[in-house]
Amino acid sequence: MTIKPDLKYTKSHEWIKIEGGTALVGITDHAQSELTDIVFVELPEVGKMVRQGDPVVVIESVKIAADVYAPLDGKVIEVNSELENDPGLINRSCYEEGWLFRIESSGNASDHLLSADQYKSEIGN
Amino acid sequence: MKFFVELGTSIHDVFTQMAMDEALLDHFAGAFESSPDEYCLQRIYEIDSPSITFGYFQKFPQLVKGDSRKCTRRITGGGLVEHSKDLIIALVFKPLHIKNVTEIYQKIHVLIQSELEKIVNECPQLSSFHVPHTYVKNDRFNCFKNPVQHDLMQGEMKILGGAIARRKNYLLYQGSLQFNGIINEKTRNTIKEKMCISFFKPDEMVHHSIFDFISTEKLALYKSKYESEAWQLKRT
Repeated sequence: MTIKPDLKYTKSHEWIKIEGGTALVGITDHAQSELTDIVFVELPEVGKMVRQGDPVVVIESVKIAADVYAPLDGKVIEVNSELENDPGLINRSCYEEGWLFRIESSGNASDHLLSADQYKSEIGN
Repeated sequence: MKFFVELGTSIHDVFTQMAMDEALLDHFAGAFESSPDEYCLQRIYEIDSPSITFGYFQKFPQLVKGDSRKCTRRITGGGLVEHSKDLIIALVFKPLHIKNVTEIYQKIHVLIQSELEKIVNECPQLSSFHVPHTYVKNDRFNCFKNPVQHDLMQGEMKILGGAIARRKNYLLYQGSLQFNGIINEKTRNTIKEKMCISFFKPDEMVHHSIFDFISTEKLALYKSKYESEAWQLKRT
């Protein structure tokens, strides 16, 4: 199970790449593996304001609809529309081409986010 | 592990039943998110009149237009289910120590199979359940048209189809147990009363009313979502 050391994580299995004032968000290798083959992704509208913990994306795999949460407060400024045609990108490349959305952070603290080591112990690896 | 068996809400309309399941999932996902303890809740219920539910990602089904049955979108995935005299098994739990969703279906359906087999001794008209381990054909539109991996079968007939929703680290499983008239009312009631799908070995079993967890006002809010066109026609 791949856990990238340079990313931040949440207990609900999102990864976050902080880049200046924005955060790129996807789901972890652990999460995509639990979900198995992903067949649908419902993405948010660009411009949507979100609060930390809000459900932002819904993913469907084998008869499961799973929420993905905003890791930070902010505005959704970009979504990965490639996923509408090819949701399997999340299974094949969850940390790269399978990213979900980008948030412009409104500057709230990110202390609640987990390091790679903390996430590793969270999922029992 | 604490195992809650929810009582007292067994027959309602489809909107109320869907609302209860979602409200309980949200409650457990919020209240017990960080708890190291394991909690599982079971509801077994009926819908009071023939109704239709369809999967979260499905378009509003054309066949429902002009149909007098109540119809709503579920929060769980999967296909369309026509509810009529079926028993619905809802489980809310945190899937610890389980690799993936396929394994969850397999575990739950084997548990249900085992429970049904216990009851078969008293209800001889049920027999030869099996859980297929290979896909036959996946008709995504209608849940009961074609069996898929880990569905529960009686002979050639699919009798149990399930779907799941995830909120944070908790899952809601909704399974429809359909016997298509091969069992009588008494047998159905026996199954409803006796079936106990403990996802983990419980240390403690507690009987609860839904209103120990969810207020009437909150439940009404959830119900209004299921009744609304905005929710039902979310995808057209």
